[in-house]
Amino acid sequence: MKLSSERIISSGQLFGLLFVYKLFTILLYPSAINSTGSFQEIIISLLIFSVISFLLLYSVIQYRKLSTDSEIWLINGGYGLFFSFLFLFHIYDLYSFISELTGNSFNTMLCIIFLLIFSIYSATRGVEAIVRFSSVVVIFSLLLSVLFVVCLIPSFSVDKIGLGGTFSISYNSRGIITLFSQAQEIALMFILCKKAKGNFFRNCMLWNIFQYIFLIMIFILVFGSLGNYLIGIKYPLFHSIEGSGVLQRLNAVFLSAVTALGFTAVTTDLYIINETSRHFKFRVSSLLIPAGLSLAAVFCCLNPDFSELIFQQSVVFYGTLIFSVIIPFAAIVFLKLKSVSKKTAAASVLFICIITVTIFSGCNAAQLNQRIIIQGMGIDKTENGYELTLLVLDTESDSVKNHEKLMKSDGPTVREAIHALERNSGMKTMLSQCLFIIMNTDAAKEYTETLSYFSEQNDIMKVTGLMTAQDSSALIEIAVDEMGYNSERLELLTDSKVIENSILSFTLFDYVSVIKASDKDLVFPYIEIDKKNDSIAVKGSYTVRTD
Amino acid sequence: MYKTISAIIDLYKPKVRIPVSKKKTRFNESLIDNLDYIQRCFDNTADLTVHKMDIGGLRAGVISIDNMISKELLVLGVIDPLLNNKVNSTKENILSDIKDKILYIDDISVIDNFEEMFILVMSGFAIIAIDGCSKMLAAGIQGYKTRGISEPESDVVQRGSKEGFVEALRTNMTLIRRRMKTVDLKFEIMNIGQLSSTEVCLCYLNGMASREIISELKKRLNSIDLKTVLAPGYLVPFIEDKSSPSFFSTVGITERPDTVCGKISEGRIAVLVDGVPGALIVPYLFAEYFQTIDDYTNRPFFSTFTRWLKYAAFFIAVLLPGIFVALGTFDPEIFPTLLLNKIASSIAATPLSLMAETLMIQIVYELMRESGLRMPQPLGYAVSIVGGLVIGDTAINAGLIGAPALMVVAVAVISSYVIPNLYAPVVVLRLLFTLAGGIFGIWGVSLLFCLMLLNLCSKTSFGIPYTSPLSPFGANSFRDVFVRAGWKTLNKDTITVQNMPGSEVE
Repeated sequence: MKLSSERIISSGQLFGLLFVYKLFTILLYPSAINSTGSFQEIIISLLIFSVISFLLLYSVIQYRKLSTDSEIWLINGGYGLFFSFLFLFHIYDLYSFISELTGNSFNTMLCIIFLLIFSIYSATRGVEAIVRFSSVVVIFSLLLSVLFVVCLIPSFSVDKIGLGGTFSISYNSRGIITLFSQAQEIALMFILCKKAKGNFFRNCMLWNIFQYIFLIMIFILVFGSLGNYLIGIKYPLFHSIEGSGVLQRLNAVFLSAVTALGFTAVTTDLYIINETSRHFKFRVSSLLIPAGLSLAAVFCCLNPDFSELIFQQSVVFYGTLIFSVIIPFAAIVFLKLKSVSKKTAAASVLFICIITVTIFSGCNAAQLNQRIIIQGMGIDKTENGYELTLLVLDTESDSVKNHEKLMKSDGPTVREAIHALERNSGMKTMLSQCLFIIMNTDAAKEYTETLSYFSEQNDIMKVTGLMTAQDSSALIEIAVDEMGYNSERLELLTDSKVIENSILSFTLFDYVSVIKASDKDLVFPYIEIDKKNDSIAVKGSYTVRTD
Repeated sequence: MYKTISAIIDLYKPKVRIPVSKKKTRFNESLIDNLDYIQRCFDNTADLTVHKMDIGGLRAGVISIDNMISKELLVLGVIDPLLNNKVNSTKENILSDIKDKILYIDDISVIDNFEEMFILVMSGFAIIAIDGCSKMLAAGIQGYKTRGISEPESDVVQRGSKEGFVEALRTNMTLIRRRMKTVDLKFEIMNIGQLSSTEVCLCYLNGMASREIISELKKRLNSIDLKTVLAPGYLVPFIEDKSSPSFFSTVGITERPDTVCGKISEGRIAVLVDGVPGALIVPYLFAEYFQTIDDYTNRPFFSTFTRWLKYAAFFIAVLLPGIFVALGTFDPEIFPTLLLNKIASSIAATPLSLMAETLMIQIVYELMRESGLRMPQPLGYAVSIVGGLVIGDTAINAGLIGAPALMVVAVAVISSYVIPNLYAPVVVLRLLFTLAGGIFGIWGVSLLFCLMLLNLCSKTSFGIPYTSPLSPFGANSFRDVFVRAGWKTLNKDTITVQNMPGSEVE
């Protein structure tokens, strides 16, 4: 196969660009993951990404103009092993992303096994089907990006939106990077494949145009927010987004998008590997070894728990391996020995895989009625440790109004106390709806020990209000049992009272920010029972020095 | 005595099966031999009638099937002219003289073999056989009872024509011809089915339909080796492109002649089947499921709105229960507090898990729908009432199912009726998505959705990608997919189906 002599970019150079693009994308992950405290980092990541993405787009268009139908295989043929690396990378990337997001590595592993089974099946559907599918996935990604922007807009007007749920900007930011980079990669791959009939070039351009419109919109949002900040509005965009919990709703959306793109990427990789092996013998080029090694090195450095996957897995891992890999392969051998037709064998193996994996997945998520949905809590530090008074949703209550009840637990630490509660009740706690935490003054003094558990939880809202009281347990009991307070009414205390001409409020998000800044003090609202008015009121503030 | 002996002899006469092979058995010159052969083939069936008479001094017989013919036409148009007119022709000319000078029937043809005769006589023709002639005359005097033209029940429109196809093929052809008065409209009839010999008619516009698709369709239809063709579903698997198994069909079906006219004017081909009040349409793309004739009678802005509503309805119908189960089981924190409280209280009050509950409601609903569909109408109402009471009231009060799950399934079910032609795939996919959501959460739903998408993308309809013009993308074709452009725009240039993006045919 000869290349046109007029081309401005060779297959090797294009490969190099593809590699650099992938490398940059991976390098953007840590900045995105570490951006829990700052939305700016996502913007910077996206800015860097958009420049590289444009460069790659330009090069691919140039290559496409002068290449013949099957020259895409020349790139792959020369550097085919790169796609094997890429395939492994995409699989692990998906695994790590989903297990971090869902916090359930076992289920994720089962999901990945399913994804692989379906990808192998899908890779045999032919280039036309794969390209058409990729094109649709990219269009769907485009729609999800619109959703993302739409979800950001309400953050301007309100400082705190009463949404429950997981708030973890790191996953969303990583989701954005993954979504954008993979969508671009897939879009470029399918325009290179001229064999597929239909104007896929147009699809790719549509995606690119939208991608840049999206970025421009993000930047406009940022500058608009800056304007607000300059004219003295207290909640600029970054604070507003990070504190509002708007993004927490997008976790499921990102999960879906990343799954779809990951599935497409893995299918495309498998197809390319298979097709390349039919057309070419893999060559070990001078570029390939350093490329592969550096990719693997970057990959391992960025994922220090990589070795854990191989060496430190639980029994569950080996169980899964046996039931989803060894048994199906044994079944293949058995069916081959029995000389069953290829189609029947494939169907039988798929059936066995699905049945075994489904059975062993065990539908292991706790049902909602098996969860303790915490609406608010009081933490008292005592001599023996911590005593928790939890205001939880009473799912068995028939009454419409009074649907909350009190639960108690104790332990040497907050973590232990919560675990004890889970053990004794046989239920799983759920912090996503927790509106406030009231600490007694002793607990507030030991803020690191008291609040470290909450700052590690992905599912707690960062807008959860923090307050102090003399005896939080007694306060909550009187408030709920005698004064008829519920969690929403108690939550109002976190920021509604004017103390010395300013609104005093303190949230978990503020706590994380103050801890990071380390030169500020923690100023919690101090509440107590107002016997005259038969109510609970904010009586001042309680300051704890961070040193 | 004679009758008894005759009956015994008849009993031991070898039975002659109606030939189903393509080999032609020519008529004898002897009328008695011919009639004997016919009666043996029909095994003295009760509805075969033979009127014997003399025509111009020759023995003759008029063969017909009761109730397939109009008796009035038989008497006034065939028997009466034959008996009352003098025929002075030779054996060689008698058939042509009768055909041209005596009979008052338009649809007359001369036939020379039994196979053709059998098909014609069973299609409502009267066959005139004359002793000494090796040919026969077939006079079309069909008079069987057919259902009158009425509004199609499953393809209702708001403003368009209220005429729907009926079972009689010729009536259906007329319904199309009345709307397309052009010499380019072509009907081609073929017979399919070894036993039923069902008439199947291809209908297309010359110059618009691709010759490649027409010849491919004929090839596929001719290769059908079925014994009977009693419904359009018999033909669909033979017409579809060979691809991976799928829930979605690449052959469309409609009961409306105006829809057929619209489709054939875009280069598609309609397949009309005798005895079936509907037409198959090929090639058929996925986007067409969301187009109805009302879209073209309403104003563009409203048609565009309803299009989007239909797309949304499809996703809601397929995904909503699955996503609800996935979020409720794995990611409940996504719900706002008040909604979560409601869902959690409802689950706490019911004995089943969210997945089992949602699956159960869906299956109970499908049971009720199926029984209501098959039952006599008065009983169907009773089933609806019982179903409404059982599901809507008793089941919730008894704490067997929760109101949120019921609400979600109800919305999904209602949405599935927005695109009635997709009901079957939607129901099965909904169950699968609910299972995936309950076992793997939102991840499982996403993966299954990807598989569904890939399956759609891997399909073609006569060489045209099933997902065209979404993928491959065609901006021009989009004017009637995501939006419905005005007639002035639509009329500017004609887009035929073979010109869709990614098409392999010309």
